[in-house]
Amino acid sequence: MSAIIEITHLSHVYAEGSPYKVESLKDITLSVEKGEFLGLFGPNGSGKSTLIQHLNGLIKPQKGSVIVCGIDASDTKLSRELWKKAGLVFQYPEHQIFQTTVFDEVAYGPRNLKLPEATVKERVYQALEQVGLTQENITQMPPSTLSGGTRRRVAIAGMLAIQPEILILDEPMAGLDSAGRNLILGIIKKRQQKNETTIMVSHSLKEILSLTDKLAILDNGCLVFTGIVQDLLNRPEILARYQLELPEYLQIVWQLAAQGCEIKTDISSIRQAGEEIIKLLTRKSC
Amino acid sequence: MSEGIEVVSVTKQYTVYPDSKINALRGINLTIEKGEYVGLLGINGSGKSTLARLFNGLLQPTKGKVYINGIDTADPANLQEIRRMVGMVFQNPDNQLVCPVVEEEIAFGPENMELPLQEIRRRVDWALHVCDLEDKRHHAPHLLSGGQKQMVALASVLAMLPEYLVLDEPTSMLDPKSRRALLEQLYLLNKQEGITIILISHNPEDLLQTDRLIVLDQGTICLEGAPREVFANAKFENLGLEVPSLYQLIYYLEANHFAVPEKIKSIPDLVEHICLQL
Repeated sequence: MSAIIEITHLSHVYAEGSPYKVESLKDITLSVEKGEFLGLFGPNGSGKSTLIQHLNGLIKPQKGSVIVCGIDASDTKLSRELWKKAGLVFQYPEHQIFQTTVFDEVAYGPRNLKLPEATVKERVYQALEQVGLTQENITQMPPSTLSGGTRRRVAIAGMLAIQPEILILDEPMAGLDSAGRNLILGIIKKRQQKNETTIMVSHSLKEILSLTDKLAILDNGCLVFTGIVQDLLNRPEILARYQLELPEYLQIVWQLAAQGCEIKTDISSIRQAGEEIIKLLTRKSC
Repeated sequence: MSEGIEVVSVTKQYTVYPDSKINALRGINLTIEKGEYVGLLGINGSGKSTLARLFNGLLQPTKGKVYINGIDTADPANLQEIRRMVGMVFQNPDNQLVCPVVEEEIAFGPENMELPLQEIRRRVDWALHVCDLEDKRHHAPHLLSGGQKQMVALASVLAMLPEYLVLDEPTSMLDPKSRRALLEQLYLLNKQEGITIILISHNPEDLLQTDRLIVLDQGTICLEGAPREVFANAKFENLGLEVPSLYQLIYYLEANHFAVPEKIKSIPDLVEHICLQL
């Protein structure tokens, strides 16, 4: 394994010199290995979006350095290379759809890469399939006539069609139903199997707990935690401080244990939680 | 004049390029009583947002009628009054914030109602307090984070003192803390201030505190009732919706002869109930 992203002592200030000055990132040092799935957490306003916008060059480092796939993100001459490597899908990407058909929308990136039209077509169909849009007539539909969830899939397909080495998703599951959320988790799982890197900004630890390789938590511009899931589970004070929601099956057994009940806490499903609770009630020992 | 929201045989059709039509709602009949806390649930594309936009006349039904306190939303002369009664909070707060400073944003509605200055001040202070935004009073909304912006959107609607509050997936951009704070706030606004709340979500977990759930599928109401009944209905999962883990657990416990009272609506409630049985 080698680091595909290296962020060193990165700081960022918005509106420097004005009364609205905000120190958005403070001395962040973080690396991501190739093939990893990094979950990026933190309260609203903690700097998550600012951090990821450094990875594809939308924001240039003011202080510190960002190296992505060997490219120095502060080098404006390499900006074009950088956005091909690191594909960033914003929050609510469906709001930035602007082409008149689904096909043209998804083809926009590959066409900008100056790929031959046959390859573009291949990539569009591949990307649409990845997001579960396989209906025959959908490619000629105007995106504005599709539901919000379907438009989100189209927007994500537009990024997948560029085939970036690093896929960065800013709260991609917000507003999606469970089918849509499972689809995104499926895409990430496949990327992990192919040793492709993914970063996801998320508010829901419980949704990605079983899948992430590494977690990072930002608070008020500072990196307050990096590590694997088990490290985090061993830090109840961090879980509590950031109100990171554990899956309900863990919440209930942990809360029962905190009440002094003898109950197994290393479980992995709601069904198991039920079984443990029934055992507990049968024993009646609290 | 009858209080409440009444939706009578409503169909909504969108004309789609080139010339096909989509029926987003197909014959909806629905009554929402004053003071209710209603959850509107359904997968993406089921018609939730369309229905929500009928409640304050942002959209008009293709067929059928929508009445707010007996007032027809189809008559343009009624719209100002209806929009004062029915406050809307949308999915994305960027779409509804217009002022450069938070407190101005919140004062925007009351100012347009030409209220006395002191009343505007009182309402702005109250809304800032309720939404926990007192320290953001002089900030610029567009420089706040997504979750904070959503609270500003809610505060600016609350300052109009609406009788009905319609929220279209307001939690989807919020972190768990802000999400819980918002849901807790909605519950209090309903129980203490008596504001009727219609909360739209595709996430059943958001709707545990509601009195009644209405589940939409392809533009029709396919399930309706108390959350505990609705989640237990086999149809629910077939719609592609997930039964909240809490209820999965409750149903499992009940199947194993451990009774869980109706009043249990959260994990801490359940933990407390279990401990009492030990």
